[in-house]
Amino acid sequence: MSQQKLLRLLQLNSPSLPIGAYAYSQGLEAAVHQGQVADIKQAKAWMTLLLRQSLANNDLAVIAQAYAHWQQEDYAQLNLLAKTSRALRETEELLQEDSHLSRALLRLAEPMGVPIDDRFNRKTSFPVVYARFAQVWRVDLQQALTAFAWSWLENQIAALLKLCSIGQTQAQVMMLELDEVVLEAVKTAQNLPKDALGMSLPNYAILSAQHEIQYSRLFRS
Amino acid sequence: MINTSLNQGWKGFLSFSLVNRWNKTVVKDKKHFGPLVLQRPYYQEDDRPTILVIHPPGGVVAGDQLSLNVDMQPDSKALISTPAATKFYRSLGKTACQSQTIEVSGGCELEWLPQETLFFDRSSVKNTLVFNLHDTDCRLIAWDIVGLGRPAMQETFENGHLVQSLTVNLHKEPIFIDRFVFSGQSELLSSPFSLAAQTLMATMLFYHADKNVLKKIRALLLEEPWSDRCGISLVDEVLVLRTLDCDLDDLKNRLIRAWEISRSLIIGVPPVYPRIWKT
Repeated sequence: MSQQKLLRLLQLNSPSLPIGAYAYSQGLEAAVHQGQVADIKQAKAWMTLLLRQSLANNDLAVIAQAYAHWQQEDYAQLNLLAKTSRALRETEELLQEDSHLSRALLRLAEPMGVPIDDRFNRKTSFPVVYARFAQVWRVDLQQALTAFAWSWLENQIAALLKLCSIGQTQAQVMMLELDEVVLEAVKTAQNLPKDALGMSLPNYAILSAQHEIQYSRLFRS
Repeated sequence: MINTSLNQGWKGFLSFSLVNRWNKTVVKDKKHFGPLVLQRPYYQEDDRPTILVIHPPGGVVAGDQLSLNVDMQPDSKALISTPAATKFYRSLGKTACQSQTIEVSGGCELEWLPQETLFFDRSSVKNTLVFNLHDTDCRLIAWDIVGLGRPAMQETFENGHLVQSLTVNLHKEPIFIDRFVFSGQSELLSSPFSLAAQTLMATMLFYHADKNVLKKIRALLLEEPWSDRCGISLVDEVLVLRTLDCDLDDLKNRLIRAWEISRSLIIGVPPVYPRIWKT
């Protein structure tokens, strides 16, 4: 990987990228609120399951498919994939998060020199736009996926530290321990057949829906 | 169409249209092959029939392919159900497929309220349900109840394979997809974030819904003692209710209550209990 590509990849996945990902906990706040994530062991189980099942079969797989469509400039496929990616969001808050992040990243495209064709439907989905940045900057797909998964995990850990009394060092050790799970999720996404997109975890979806009406919240719904 | 299906190895095929004739919906163009039949529709309400789709063998085995296509023509109305649970038995390798596709034209009102689908351990199944909405001006209340394993016999779904999907398309594009894939990952059965050790999961959809309808249905649901076992959310224009349980009667009663609450709000007519639920 050239040093310049590394710089772009780090920038695209930096928590300081102004798209507002930090405002969302993706059901984790509800899980903590209901006592289902109270210690590091449960936090690890939450993140492992979401990486393996949800991220691998949804966002990461969408990025992998979108990346190829961007290379081929296949806008019909890109727009359909974006609709599918939106339709796979289990709840209103998850769909709104996806909409907000995709709009915010699209706004950065022009100033950051990432051309977006007029044929691309602006009502889109975050992983589809993410794939465009990676593809234009010629970041290798596998590295783009790995960074996306890392960035998701980093954001979840940041949320976890705000929500429960888990030590920062403990959280960093957990992140190390999740290496294999991250790499496995990337591999699953890359090998997923095109028609096998999508996986919804029932109680994750229920927790996210309950978060929408949770009485007091730190994170957006 | 039946011939093509035969060539692809369909074992059961049923298709029919629903047509609005002077404000009364009637069944037309019925075609069927194999063990999937339609009971004579009956009318508890003047304008819409209750339609029961029957699979007389009662269970589906490896390699079976069941296909149901319903074409609801403009302004037709119906409640479609099944008289008994659909059961998928253990497989020695081959995958059984059930594919149900319902075309819903403008002005249609559909209640899709079948009994549960049960997947035995070691079954291998692809189960697909698709609603194709042709217009935003249609009404849909649908549920899908899935049972994994046979808890009464201490049988979990550990060795089963399942691709279970529920899709709503509007103008041929997806607006809601609920897809659950199981292939031996036992963590999916036990994890508190997946099935939470419950053996039954249900998804109920309401269309066309807006914030107002969400507010009303949610407020009524929150009064129910079981509301903390549900998640309700308005995803674009599809209102979705999800719930898990171990007890089939509890789960069904919950869904029926949600149907009672929502029928007048979504479809605009008070609930009329289908006879089939009383037996």
